[in-house]
Amino acid sequence: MSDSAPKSVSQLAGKYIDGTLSKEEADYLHFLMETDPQIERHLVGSVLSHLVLLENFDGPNQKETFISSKIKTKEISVWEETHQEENLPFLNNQDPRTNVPLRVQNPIEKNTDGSFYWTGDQEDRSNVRPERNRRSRRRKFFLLASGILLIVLLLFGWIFWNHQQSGEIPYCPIARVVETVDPVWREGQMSYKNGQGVERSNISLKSGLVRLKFENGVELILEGPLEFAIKDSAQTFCSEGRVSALVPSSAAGFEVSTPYASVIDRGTAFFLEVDQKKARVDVIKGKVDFVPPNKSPVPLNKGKAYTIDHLHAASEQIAQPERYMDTNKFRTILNQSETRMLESIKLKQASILRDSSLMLHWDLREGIGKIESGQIRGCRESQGRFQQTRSIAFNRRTDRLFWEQQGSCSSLTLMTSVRIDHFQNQTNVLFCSGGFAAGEGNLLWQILKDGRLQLQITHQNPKGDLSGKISREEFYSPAVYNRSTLGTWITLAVVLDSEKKTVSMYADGQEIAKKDWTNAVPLKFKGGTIGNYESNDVQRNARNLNGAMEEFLIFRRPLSSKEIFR
Amino acid sequence: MVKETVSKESLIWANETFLKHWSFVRYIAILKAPDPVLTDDIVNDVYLNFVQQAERWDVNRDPRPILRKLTKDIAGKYWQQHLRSTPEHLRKIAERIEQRLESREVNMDPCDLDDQLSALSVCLKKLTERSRRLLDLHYVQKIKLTRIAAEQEQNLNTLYSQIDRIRIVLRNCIENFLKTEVPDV
Repeated sequence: MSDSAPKSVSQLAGKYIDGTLSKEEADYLHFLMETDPQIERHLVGSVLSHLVLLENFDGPNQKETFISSKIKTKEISVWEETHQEENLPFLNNQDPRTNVPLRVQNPIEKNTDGSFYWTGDQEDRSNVRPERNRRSRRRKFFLLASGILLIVLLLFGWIFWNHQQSGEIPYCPIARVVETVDPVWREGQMSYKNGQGVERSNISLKSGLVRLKFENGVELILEGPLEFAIKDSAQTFCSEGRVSALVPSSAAGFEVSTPYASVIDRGTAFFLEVDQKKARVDVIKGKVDFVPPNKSPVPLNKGKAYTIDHLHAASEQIAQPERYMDTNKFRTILNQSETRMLESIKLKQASILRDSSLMLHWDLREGIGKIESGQIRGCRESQGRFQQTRSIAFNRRTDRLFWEQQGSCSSLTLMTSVRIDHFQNQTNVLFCSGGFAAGEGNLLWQILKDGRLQLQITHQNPKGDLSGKISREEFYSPAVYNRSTLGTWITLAVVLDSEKKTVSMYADGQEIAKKDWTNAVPLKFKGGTIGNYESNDVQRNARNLNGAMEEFLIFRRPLSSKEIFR
Repeated sequence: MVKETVSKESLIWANETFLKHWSFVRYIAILKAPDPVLTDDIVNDVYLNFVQQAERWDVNRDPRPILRKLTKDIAGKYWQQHLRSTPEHLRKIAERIEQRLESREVNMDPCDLDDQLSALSVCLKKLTERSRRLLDLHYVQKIKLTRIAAEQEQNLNTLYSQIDRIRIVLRNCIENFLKTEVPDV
């Protein structure tokens, strides 16, 4: 084997990191770095990658090793009281995450046949696979890979079969509510939020606008007062109201029935108005078939309108395009509505800021920026509740907001406006308070995978009982989230009232749960984490919020139902 | 090791704070260490300094500027010792790289180590089996490249190029991963 003088930057970088660079090569590399910034970036990138690789393969044990060494010194009593119980189980020299003994480094020697073997302790030999010659090793590898592939396929099949049995198929609603403008829903009828999925159901509006998008691409703008029913992705029924429809050619055949006639689209845009006496359709673009009961379809082209009344008297007119609500008109009305709503929010915020019990108020509607008494770690910006606002998204397992204030209180209200996009994690942490001492409470507020809210209040028993005995109370709400409400904005609140000894939970201003708080302990904060759990350990199960947040508030008193509703 | 004049409460606070910012301190130590094997020593010295002066620190303020300064000062002392024994031709390159890494640390989120490790775990899965095997031999089993080249009857310079290319692929993958926004479902 010959080692000719290296010429490429990759070779020089590799040699530098390996510590085998000669003087001539080093001078040459230095010259290249000075003359070509790209080469310098290459080398810095290689070095950084090398450092991260070292940290990855050696680093996870370093924290435990560090603490272990400290516990063996005089600071042991201090470390026992340090709130890091997660780090202590490693004392038996096992990786706390997997209970696998920490890696033992052994020297390697070579057999006469060219294979390697460990020269460590005899007990370690059982962990060692001696090297075989390449052919048999390759054969074994293929057999093993085939076996693993078969098991994985069987596992996937089993999981898929289970999902089919339990009904957990991917959620694809017939339509989604894209946006709404000042909707007032009829009493006793379902109300929908932006982003919510809609299945076979009725939409009943007293007033306002709703923009719907179907899975087949059809877009409808519904204007109240309205009674509208969705049967499937191609059939709907409107007994009252105005409908502006945009139907792509791939969804031709989309039908809106009325008490008087049906309108079957052939790839077009049309406007339909229905009241108690008549139905009228204006064809804005393309072609529709207007089908009176028991009569032949009447084809209508662009520019034509047709009216039929409850006595089946029909007449043809000229279409009035100004009656049609297109996306631009809708957006203009939406912007005006949102501007009014945002002004109202600002007024409410002004009164909130005057509340002397307010401990924390983070308005994240302007996206990533500076927050008082806190830090943003990793989060990105996302779309807010309104077109004009932003929010903070938590998508990676390390995304979080740190709240650095310290304080204490006996009663508490936590409120947040949050959007959950999916339930990939077992839990979506909303708030986790930092640090607690004996006799004081620690809070964890989160959304479980089944859509319920959970509040955990944990505290250590008073001093003198440091064997690790902790008390925990847990409070649950009914499911707030289901498949159709993922992706929608909801305002959540939890109120801890030490006088009444109750814990109440709210969703969109409505009380959804109230439980007795039997062990009302004082709550002391050493800061807290929002959107994630407190621990920085990336190897643990992810508990970050899978969604976005636009506001977070903490009050040092229990807010009333009226205050929360407002 | 720690002065007995530091109160227990301060010690507990210092311990908790240091562990909370462990990744931050370690990241700066990794970037500033003249040799990766010195990282642990630097982190240990930072801890001792931080804890010994625990009474001085304002508990209501962000401790990271203090931890950063301590880490850089201590790493700087290690650098001075290390440079005395480093040949001149390598010292120039090391100093240049150290300056570039310093500007990276200043410009990027200082707690990027967790993100990088998370991204690395994803990027490692995207490597070919051959690349992963080479990383396993060199980084996990700690076999020197000269030995790997000898055992596999491979040209050593080719091996240097291979492993450097793997490092660059991982670096690009990590940076792209950290830049890419996770789409909403």
